[in-house]
Amino acid sequence: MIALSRRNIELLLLFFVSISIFVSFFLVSQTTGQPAENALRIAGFLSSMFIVLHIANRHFIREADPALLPLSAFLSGLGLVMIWRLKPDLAIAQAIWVLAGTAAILVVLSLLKRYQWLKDYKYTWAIAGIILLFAPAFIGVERGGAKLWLNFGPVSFQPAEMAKILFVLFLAAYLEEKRELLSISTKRVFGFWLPELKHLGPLIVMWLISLVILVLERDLGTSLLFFGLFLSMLYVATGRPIYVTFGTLLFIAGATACYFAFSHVQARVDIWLDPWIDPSGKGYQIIQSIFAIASGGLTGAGLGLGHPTLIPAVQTDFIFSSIAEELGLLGSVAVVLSFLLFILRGLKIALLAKDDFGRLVAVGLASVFALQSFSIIGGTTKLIPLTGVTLPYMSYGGSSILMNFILLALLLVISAKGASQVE
Amino acid sequence: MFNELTLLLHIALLIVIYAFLFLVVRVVARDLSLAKKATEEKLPRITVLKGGPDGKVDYPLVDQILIGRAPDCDIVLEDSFASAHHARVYIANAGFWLEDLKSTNGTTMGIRKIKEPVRLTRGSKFSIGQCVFQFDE
Repeated sequence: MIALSRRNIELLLLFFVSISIFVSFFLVSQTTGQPAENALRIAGFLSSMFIVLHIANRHFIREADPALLPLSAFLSGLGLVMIWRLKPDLAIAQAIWVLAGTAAILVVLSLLKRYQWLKDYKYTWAIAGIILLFAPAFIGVERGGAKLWLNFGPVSFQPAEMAKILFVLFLAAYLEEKRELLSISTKRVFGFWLPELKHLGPLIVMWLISLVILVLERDLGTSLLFFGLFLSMLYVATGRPIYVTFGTLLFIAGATACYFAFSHVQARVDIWLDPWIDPSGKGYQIIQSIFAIASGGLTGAGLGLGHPTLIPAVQTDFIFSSIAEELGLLGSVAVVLSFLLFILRGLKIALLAKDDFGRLVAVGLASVFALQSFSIIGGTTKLIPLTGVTLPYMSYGGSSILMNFILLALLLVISAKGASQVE
Repeated sequence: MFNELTLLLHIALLIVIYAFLFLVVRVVARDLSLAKKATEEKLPRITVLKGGPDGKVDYPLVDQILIGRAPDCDIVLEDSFASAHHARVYIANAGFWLEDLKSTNGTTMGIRKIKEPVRLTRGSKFSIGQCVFQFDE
């Protein structure tokens, strides 16, 4: 550990991840009776994808953060093994998405060694993001009360995932340019000093967007995510707590209004408060999830030996419960710890970034990641009302995998730049 | 199917996962201590050129440095000319200042004893009794 370079540390960590992938796939093949060759094939495929990414890092971004790739490799490896265990047919599709994600990282690394040019196209990102967000409202398909998917033949795609990254890019570029103006107050309204209204315009637009998502697409999770992302970036750029206070009040007002206006929001909150009001209907999913987590105990039932398939949508929203059941408290704490470490690294990259644009992009990406993993892990453990977002890297879902791999690539690129200027 | 092999693999898996996380935490901790060292190196500092306590000669300036004979000072002098709380260096108005705290024998900068706070610039030298200090940013 003393004199290893960043890339050699990454290789060492990936070695451990790779062992855990092979062991877990082999274990699942033993317990579920699926052919061991398939297990080794998928495990080998996954490991080789991460080795490819490691080599790409060595080639393109020598000084990038050493912990991010191993952490995301660990999470996506564990995710894939759970999917293979829960729904073996879906594992191949997920593996193909991992391949696509790897390709996306390679593209980002080769195109974005200098990421500064991204901010010259900020309005392009904003418009593309809005189109992606709202396309499903008009031509999308509805699943589980939310209208979020676009269908392309056999492949369905959730464009809001991509929109998250585009909005981070837009907000970072916009706030970098306007941060001075937004931090200076010129008008006094109701005892608060506020910046000039014209600079607030795009920010109010952002707030409206998150409300419109809620109304048009009936998706609580994504709406919350966008608003939270927006508030945290605004706070980091201006350093003024008034925005957070004001934004939180707006959010509480909006959330209360939604509770009374939309029956599905009301249902979610009621079930969160007491799932036993409808144990075989609306409360069934969350009750099964809590049973699964409880039956896992300290060390878990063992991969392939529990009954997580009783939870509806276990491979997407509830994958965390299945891990808690089969790997127990130890396994689920390891997962939560990996998420926390990933977020910590993201924020550290932001601190070390030498340019404001890079800093804001890193903060935005880390916030999206943090908000998303918190809201779904909190939802499945009944800490907060359930909002249907995916667990980054682990849940089954192509757009989620693709988006999080691109997020990883952007963080790596920014960390490489920050480190090279320090040394 | 549950048997000895799967139990063994299960335990092995948990051990590998935690070994991995332990290594990641070590990497993170090491980076944090490196980052702390790097920020300390960038801080403005006072170097003791002559006299002063044994051993340490380099004092990073965080918000203020108190110099004198009293043990609660940041730089403790053994010079009999120094007062208990002799002088301080502090940050104010985007600058670094040296102030004599009404000491008996005074603080000298150049050839004059200072009467009110003096702004320090890179390389400024001042002396208390036999001790000579240099400020660097």
